[in-house]
Amino acid sequence: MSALKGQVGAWHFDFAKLPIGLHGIVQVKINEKDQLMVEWFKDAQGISIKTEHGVFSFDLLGEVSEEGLVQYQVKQRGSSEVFSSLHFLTSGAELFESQNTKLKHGIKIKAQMPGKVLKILIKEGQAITEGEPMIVIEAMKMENQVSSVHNGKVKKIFIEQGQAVETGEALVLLE
Amino acid sequence: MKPNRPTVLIANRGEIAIRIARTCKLLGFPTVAVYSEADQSSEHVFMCDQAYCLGGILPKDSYLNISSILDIARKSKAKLIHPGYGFLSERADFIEACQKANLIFIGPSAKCVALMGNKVAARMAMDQLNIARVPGSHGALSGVKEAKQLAKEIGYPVLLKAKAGGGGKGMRQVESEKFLESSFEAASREAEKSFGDSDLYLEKLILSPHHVEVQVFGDGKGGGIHLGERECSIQRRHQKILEETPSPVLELFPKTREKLFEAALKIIKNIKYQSAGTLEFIVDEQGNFYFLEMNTRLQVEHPVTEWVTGVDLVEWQLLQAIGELQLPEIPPRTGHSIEVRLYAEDPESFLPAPGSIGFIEFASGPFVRVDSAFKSPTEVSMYYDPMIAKISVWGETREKALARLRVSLDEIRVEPLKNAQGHKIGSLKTNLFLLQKLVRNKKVLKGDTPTDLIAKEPELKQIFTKDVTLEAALAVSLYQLIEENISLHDGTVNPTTEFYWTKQSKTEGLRS
Repeated sequence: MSALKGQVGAWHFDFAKLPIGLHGIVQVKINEKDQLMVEWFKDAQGISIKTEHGVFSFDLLGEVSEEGLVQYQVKQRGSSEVFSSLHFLTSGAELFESQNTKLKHGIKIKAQMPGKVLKILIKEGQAITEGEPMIVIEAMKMENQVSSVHNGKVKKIFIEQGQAVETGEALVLLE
Repeated sequence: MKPNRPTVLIANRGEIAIRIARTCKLLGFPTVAVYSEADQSSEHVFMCDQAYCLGGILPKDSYLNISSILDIARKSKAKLIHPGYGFLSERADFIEACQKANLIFIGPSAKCVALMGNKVAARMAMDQLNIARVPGSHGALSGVKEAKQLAKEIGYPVLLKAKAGGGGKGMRQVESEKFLESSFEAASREAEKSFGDSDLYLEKLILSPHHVEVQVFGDGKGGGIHLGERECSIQRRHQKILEETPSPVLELFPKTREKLFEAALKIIKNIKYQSAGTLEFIVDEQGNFYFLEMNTRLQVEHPVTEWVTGVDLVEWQLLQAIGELQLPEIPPRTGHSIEVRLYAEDPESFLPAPGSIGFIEFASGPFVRVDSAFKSPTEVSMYYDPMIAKISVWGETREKALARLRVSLDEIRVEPLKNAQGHKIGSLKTNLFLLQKLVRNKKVLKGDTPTDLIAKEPELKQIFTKDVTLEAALAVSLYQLIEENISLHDGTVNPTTEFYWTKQSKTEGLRS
């Protein structure tokens, strides 16, 4: 999937092009419906963005989490708003804790956002190859396909079709 | 500006050295800065007409090095020495050394400093003057046996304190007799280590006390005035972080305020106190007050008094030292002022967390004052007090002052040094977030601020939890995508390009 599609918290973004450099303008599709033009200006402390609603400036502090993800503490300049542990999760990767997190008994795939299980494409005990779709989850009126990160076997499926899932809820155990 | 005023050597560093230099300049006193090897490019060095290195990095080799300071005074032809606060400001031996070297020490006499510096002697002096102090031992305790006896008489909980103490060192809270012996030993060991004096005294512990102090200014001949009170109850690790005047607790007990002023004046007149000083008291929830100690120097939190009185305390100190001060009547006090201390420290453990500052920007606007020695990307030194700035504001009412402080704190940006990927370099943390939460705390807004407020309000340490906004989400996405693909372009970031957009962002921000 495209590296330009992903999410931060409940916000889904699809950037029309890869943003490059200190200054530029990019069109972004928000939650699969609204198109927004965003102009940015990056500086030594963070980034300012300009949208049709105004200019907003943020100080960003990057930290590498235990899973090796870069997470940002984001402070809005001129306010006391602080958002912790923000990360732009590229689609396709968003439903895995980490590609490197191997639990003793396999890899537990967890939901990264709340939604409804639309389809389950696999069965317990089935062999699976890397990149093969497993589950489709509907969230924010969009369908998200959860694919396998490894060649292996589906050890257990924790969910049922039609079920609502919460962030962090286990979906599938791979081995 | 009057010519031919004598030269002032400022025997301090940081914001207080700058604050003193400012008043010296406006009155026409030439200034001399002293600095340690770690402070060669500190802001206070550039503020003065001359600057000399004291040698060394550690305080004992630099700012506490009396012979080096006196040498520099001679070399620079300084006539006056202002000690600021901390370091040598409350050392009677330094005052005597200045006198021997024919230098005028700006502050009280060595005798007053020695008396008040000895907590036990000070307590005895208060007893003679009939000033209420916290029930407890008259002098140093002879041992655990006496401590047990006394604690039984006044009732638990009690506090054991070091005779030579300060800043919470050599201090133990004892809940019942079975803990007294072990606490006594620990406190006396700590006192020995910190102050070279293991003597302890004992006091009744006042529960949920308020810390209220009176600013005084004495003429050294038995006359003097007060300049109102300050409440400094909001503390962590027994050190103040928010100070204000008028005191919220005294608003509930106006009679106590008058009695405090009376007691303060009685003390300074009796000891013939000269210059600026502060008498610290504890006020309990019933409005009773007890003498705690006297600080024989300019206080960190003196700006709040300056806000409500319009008096420049350093101006009075300087003019008094050259015999040009006519001490006026007690000045009227107007409105409300609050100061907070921005520290380089961990906001949860309150332990110092100095490090490199990559970007710093302070608040401004009507009735906002910032005292700081940091102007540009630099290092908060690990060798000295990790205070970054004092932010003080004035308002017609407490409510307005708090609102102004809230806005000011939101304007402040202290960012650690970062590499090109936005990762922190070094160990800097600040308590800015704690201060931002303090000025929004319900108890603080109500003025209900006993000294244990921070311990009793765990929410002050918690980060605001809120759903991420569209703008913050967009910002982090763009930032991260640009960083991840930095190899595709020249990734150098020019920090000077920030100005235009920051400004525009603030202008636009007015709309929301």
